[in-house]
Amino acid sequence: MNVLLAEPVQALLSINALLTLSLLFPFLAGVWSLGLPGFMAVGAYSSAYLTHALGVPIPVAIAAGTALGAVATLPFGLLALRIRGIYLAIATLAAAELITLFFSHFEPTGGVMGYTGMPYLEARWLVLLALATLLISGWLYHSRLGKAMKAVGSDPTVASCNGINVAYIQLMSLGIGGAIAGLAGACFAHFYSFIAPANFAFHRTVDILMFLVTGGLTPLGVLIGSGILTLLPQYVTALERWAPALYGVVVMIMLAWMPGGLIPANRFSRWCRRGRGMASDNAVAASQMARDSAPRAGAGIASGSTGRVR
Amino acid sequence: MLGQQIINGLMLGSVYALIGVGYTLVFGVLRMLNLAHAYLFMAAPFVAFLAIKNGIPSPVALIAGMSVSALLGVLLYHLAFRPIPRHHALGGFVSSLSFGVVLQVIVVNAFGSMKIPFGTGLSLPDLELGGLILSGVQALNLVMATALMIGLLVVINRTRLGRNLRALAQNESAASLLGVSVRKHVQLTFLVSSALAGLAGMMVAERFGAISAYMGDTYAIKALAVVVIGGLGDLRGAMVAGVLLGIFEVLFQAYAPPGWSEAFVWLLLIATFLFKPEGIFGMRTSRREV
Repeated sequence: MNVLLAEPVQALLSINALLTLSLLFPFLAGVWSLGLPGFMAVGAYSSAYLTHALGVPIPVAIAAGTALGAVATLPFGLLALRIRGIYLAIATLAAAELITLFFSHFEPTGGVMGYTGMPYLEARWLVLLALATLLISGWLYHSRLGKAMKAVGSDPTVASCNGINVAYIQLMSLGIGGAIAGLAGACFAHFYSFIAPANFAFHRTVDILMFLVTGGLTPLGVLIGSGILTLLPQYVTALERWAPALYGVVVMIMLAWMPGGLIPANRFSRWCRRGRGMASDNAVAASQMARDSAPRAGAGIASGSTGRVR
Repeated sequence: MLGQQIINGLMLGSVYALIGVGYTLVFGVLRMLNLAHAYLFMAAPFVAFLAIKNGIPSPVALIAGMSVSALLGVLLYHLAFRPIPRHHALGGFVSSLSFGVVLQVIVVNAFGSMKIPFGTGLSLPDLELGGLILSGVQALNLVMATALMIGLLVVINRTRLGRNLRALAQNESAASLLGVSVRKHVQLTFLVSSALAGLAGMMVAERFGAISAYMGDTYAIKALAVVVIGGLGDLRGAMVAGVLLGIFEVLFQAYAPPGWSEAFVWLLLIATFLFKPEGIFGMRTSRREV
């Protein structure tokens, strides 16, 4: 329990949980965007600049960082509407590299040397923010919007036949992810009081992807996946040198034996639809969505676009 | 001056092309990205380094480096690709990355994270072509890379093995129904692509005279750009795009403000996706949604 009381561990846990959440929503909607370090950098730099250079109070600055993280997803959203699957992952990876490249040559925030001087935020605030975000995400996941995301993720054509505005849902999921990544970035900046472009490189995406794959595409899975993998090296200090390798082995074993993660999207799908992977787990959500939208839209499928989810 | 830059660009480009060809071979057959590729690229020179330190002559050491990375490639297929459900959206992407990270951590723990001087001790005379100086090792690298790539094109386009591989890339179930052994051919693809990655790694190590556990990282993402610009699954495209990108990058570094050469690569990558997703040769591969 002593480990959990240490401030750096608390901060690391909250930031990792937030970052993993920020991948969850786009992935649910089938938007395989890996732009997370870019959004995180936008949140971190904007919050840091606002507090340090303009003297804005921390809460306002963090809120601004969150909002700007969401705004930064707009160009990525335009990519997401035209490119799919693994191609989108590559394109967004490149776009995120462009953002960090911008910050490493942007002089007002220190360029490659990094930026410092922003006020310190205690770890318990980070934990509070992460918990609140987790709760909101849990609600969002089960809300109409969350179900629409799952439906779009499993089959965009079927989803649009059921009256879901696919483009809107995809942009929305990306925006929510960006906002959460921006929040994580702002927390990162204020806890460590120093940020540099190297903090937002590709290796961060790798870690977070591993957390998400281990946990599964659910808010509870996010909490458990990021929690276990963050704490594992903290408890066994001899393992610290080997931590990334340990993550790697865990992820390979998980993918082979539990492809849906520890808490898969549909907990019974493993027995019903053996070996078909995550995509088919979401198919269940699609049919659920169709049933949900029917009574409210009057005639559901028959009336087409009237059941549109906004 | 410009000529010398273009030669440097050709060197860098041949490395990109070798890595890109490896990516594209695996992608063509499996429709999955093999992100461990750049880590195999990093592992090979370490094997060669160990061999040379133990008094093994350098040509043998280079071959040892290539063979070890080729075998690691086969291991990679069996650990990170075969057990993963084919329709898992992130399957090959994350598991190959994990395999690579494991390799990297092993290297970091065995050799440390600092740069280690690397030299093969090969002494070849410098070539002079109309005022341009080409070191012997550079010339050897260029010749090797060119020969390998031409050989690969011939094998893929002219032999029975190549026909099987192309059939596999086009439609796996049809190919296996017609008697192409899927597992054998995929394994072979991993073997060849990883050996090429190993060769590229040793070329880079020789050129900079140093190796480190992180030397693959920049090449990993850049080679992705090469593969995309050349057209995913298109061998010829990857070769041409690799060489062109290498030349452009060196020219940008020489004549443009810092940062622009990388920005150029990323922008070109995104533009390719948006406006010419089938790559520079416009080969119409079936763009299955992964």
